[in-house]
Amino acid sequence: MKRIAACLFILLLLVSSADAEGARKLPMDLTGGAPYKVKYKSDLEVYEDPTIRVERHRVPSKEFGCTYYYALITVADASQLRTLPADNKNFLSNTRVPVIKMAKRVNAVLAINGDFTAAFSGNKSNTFVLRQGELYRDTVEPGLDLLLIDEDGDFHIIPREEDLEALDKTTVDGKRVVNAFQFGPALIKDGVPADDESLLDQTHSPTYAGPHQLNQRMIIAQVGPLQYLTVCCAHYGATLPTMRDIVLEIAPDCRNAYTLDGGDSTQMVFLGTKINNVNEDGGADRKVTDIIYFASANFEE
Amino acid sequence: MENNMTAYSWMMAGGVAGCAALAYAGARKRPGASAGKAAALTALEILLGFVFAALCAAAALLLIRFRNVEAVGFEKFFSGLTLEDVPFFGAVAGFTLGVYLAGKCMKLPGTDTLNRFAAAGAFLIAAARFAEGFLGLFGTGELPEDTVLPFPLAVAIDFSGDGSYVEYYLAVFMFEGIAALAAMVFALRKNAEPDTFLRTLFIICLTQVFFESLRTTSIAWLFVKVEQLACFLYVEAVLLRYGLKGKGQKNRFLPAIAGLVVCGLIVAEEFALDKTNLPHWLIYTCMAAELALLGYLEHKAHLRMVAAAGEKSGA
Repeated sequence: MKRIAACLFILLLLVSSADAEGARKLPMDLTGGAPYKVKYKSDLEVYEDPTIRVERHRVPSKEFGCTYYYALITVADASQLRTLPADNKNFLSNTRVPVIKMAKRVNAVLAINGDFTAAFSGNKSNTFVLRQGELYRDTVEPGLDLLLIDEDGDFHIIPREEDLEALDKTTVDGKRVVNAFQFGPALIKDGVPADDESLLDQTHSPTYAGPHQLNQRMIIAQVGPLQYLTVCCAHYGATLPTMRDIVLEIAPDCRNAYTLDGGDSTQMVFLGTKINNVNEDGGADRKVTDIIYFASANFEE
Repeated sequence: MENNMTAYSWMMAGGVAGCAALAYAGARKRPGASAGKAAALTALEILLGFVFAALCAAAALLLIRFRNVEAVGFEKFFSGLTLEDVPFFGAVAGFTLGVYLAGKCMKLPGTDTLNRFAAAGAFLIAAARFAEGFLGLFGTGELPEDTVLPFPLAVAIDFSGDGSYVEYYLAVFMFEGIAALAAMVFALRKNAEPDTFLRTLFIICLTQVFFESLRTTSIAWLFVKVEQLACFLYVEAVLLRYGLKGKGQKNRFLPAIAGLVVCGLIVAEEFALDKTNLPHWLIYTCMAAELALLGYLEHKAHLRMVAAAGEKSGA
């Protein structure tokens, strides 16, 4: 029995070292990922290399009354889930550029808008900002849920009911927090979907988010270890409960799902091309302050 | 894409030196002004100008980011600021106050001191704007994807560090600098006539309403660009002043009313830039035409006011 276990352990080590060939952990800074190896095509639905797999879909849904876009992402290492500010320097900068520009700078296989860190208005003025391992603003908006992503790429949602100010937000379960977001609300926390009443309560959303209105919305979710889901709806929008139901439709076992900035900020970029609202009257690409992106770590030529 | 602070500092130092030279020349033109007195006034103008510019910029930022200051604390908030956090309108208002007070300290009429300083102030603004070219994306504007334009229309910003990935951005800082230089030429030509300072700043603010819209980096409250709003308030105040001072004149409030209409149109245009697919060149053409109209109306109102003043003194 012991021999079998030892053989299995060695086999596991070999497999993991083979996986890592040509791949490396991306640094905890504002640099980008490895260049992706294919060019965008409108019919290209999957990008895959030894370190990342991104599968994207567009679903016109009668059930939810909207068209939604989603991407399922699997990465080899947590460092491939990354964030970037618009000026490449500071997450509290007043600079704003469209998601597509930032995505191209860092070779993002898939990029989405973040939580609009530098929106100094309403209850977004003092949100907690920790990105790529660096603490930019150590204040919190008490009414908004927090999303913490640890060094292993696991999501932890800290509900607004907790004492967010007193809480240590730089480590969670003994692990270092590398990215934190404060927009919300959380649609699903630890596998439990939020109820309609809670989601529709305006005080749980940033000012102007209008949870009951048909707005474009961007959701990020963790569906497994190093497996993620990003979902957004088309320009005619959806309410927050509808977005929760869409997430559950795509990933019924989703553990944590969190609302990011929406409206015209909603942008999903795949291989350097915006893929939401294509051929629909969705307005111009809004300039935003930050993005979340998934990059390849495959630097092999 | 690091900031070149050495080049920025040299450019600003050159700006201050040029500003001092122009201020001295302006002060020397005052009847009976000795070289020593003109030099003392210039030094005081620059000193108080910078002190009050810093104070007023800080006060303006305090108003804009009050909730942050409240949460973070005064000391921590101000120690974490960068150059891009400095509200330009606050600094200009403070510098103006400093120059006014310098005149008063030297027992000179404040408005006359300002009129003689107008060209120097415009030069300093021009230098500050040109210097933004050393601060990465700070003084630039968005260009449509894959648009390549040469300097001075645009700048190439290298995000890769080795030239393998560059993005082109509109060199808004150059346009702002050139507009400030044009205002300086205007001020020099007016030779410290009454209202020279007021009108020089009017030119700078009127053009800044347009340029602020182009900038990628701008202090914003939600979707309102604070600098744009402040500049427009100044423009409207100047136009309203013509109405208030032109008692008995026909259509004396027309420029001020036109200002309000243009304000509404610019709000709609900013909304269109953010929310619609209308071509940006079309929106910006309309915006430029509306602001040019306000410039024309201000000029006409000024001529009317001068003519009325001439008639009054003739009578």
